[in-house]
Amino acid sequence: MQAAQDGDEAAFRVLYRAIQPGLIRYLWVQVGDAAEDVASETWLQVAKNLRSFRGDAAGFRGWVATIGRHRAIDYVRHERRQPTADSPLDEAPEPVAADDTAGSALDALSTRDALALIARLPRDQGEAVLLRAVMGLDAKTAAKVLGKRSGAVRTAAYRGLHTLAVYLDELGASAPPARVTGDARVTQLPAASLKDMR
Amino acid sequence: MSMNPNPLSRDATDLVTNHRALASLLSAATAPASHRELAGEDDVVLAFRYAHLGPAPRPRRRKMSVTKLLAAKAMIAAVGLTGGGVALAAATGHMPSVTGGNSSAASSAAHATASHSAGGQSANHPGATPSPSMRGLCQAYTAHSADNPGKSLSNPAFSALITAAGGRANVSGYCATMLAAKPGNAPTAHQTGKPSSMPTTANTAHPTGKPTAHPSGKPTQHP
Repeated sequence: MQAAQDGDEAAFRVLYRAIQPGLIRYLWVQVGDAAEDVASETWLQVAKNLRSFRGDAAGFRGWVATIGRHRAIDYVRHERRQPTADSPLDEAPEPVAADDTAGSALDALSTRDALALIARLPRDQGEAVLLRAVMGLDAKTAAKVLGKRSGAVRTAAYRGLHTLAVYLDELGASAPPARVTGDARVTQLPAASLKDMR
Repeated sequence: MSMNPNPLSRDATDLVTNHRALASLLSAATAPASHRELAGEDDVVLAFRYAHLGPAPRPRRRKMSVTKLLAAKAMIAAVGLTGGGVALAAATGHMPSVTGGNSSAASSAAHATASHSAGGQSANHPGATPSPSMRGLCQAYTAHSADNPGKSLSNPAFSALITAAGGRANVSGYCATMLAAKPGNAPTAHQTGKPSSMPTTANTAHPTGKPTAHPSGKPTQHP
């Protein structure tokens, strides 16, 4: 971390390779195929402000996530101003073509399939799952990124995972597991478990 | 991909370990990076290099603004030609070919540059470039977008240009205006028209050389 801040390119590459995969996947759920561009903008800002960052590697991961999140929000706002463009947040990315998953076992899910399923979650749950389970942030750091309390993020991540489990059960029950329907989320959580988590 | 071994809370971990498909989904979501996901690495590292050497360009840019009389045009043209992304020393090194046979313009420009670098900035320092000249970026953008239609602005190197233009959508118009505005600075015009005036400007300004008269001549201000 310090080496990168001192200008060591090799150290910076290590950080990039550690964080970029999680970042771009997180961004993909937020902005769809613009994720590569938004990730580039994020890293550009990271590079520019790196020396002003104070903290350890875990904090750095959270800092990058925060910048990425803001860039994604900017991107979505900008897209909304364009009358013809669809908003990726309103319309989560479609799962990849059915051929990729049809007939295959659930445990052969591709990364993209997994993200497409996460993209079906309510936004707060999806973000919590992505930051915690995909970007690897601890609850405190993820909470800072989202501007929420740790407990709220823990709950949202748990609920998100639970919802994913229900999606997967439905996929497993109906063969071939081609597509998740958009309205699946509405009926997911049993009332009891919802109450438990609040 | 390196991440915290288990960032999830215990109840979430239990949920995952007790649900095989969910565990598979998360391992798919955290699978090692694909080549494509890391494709931007070199661009990002370029931006890192550029940004890390950020403080260096500042005094030079200030100098450029206060030493307009001293071959500044030659410097701007040189930087513009290379899109601002190449070391100034390398750019001035190209000057002889750029200015055709007029080597006196090139050498005086290079001389001027070298004298400005004397304060501590190595002239061949690969990152000691001036902050990107928008004109140079426009030229680079125009050339780049001809080869890569629609993709150019993804390159972080153009982010300054996007900012200056006020958004991606404005870059083309911004650059068209900029490149049309000052034909005297365009490399082609420079090549054909400027060399005759350049040597006199540079040579008369420089030989007097009075270091005390050069605002930039204070080595202590150099990083």
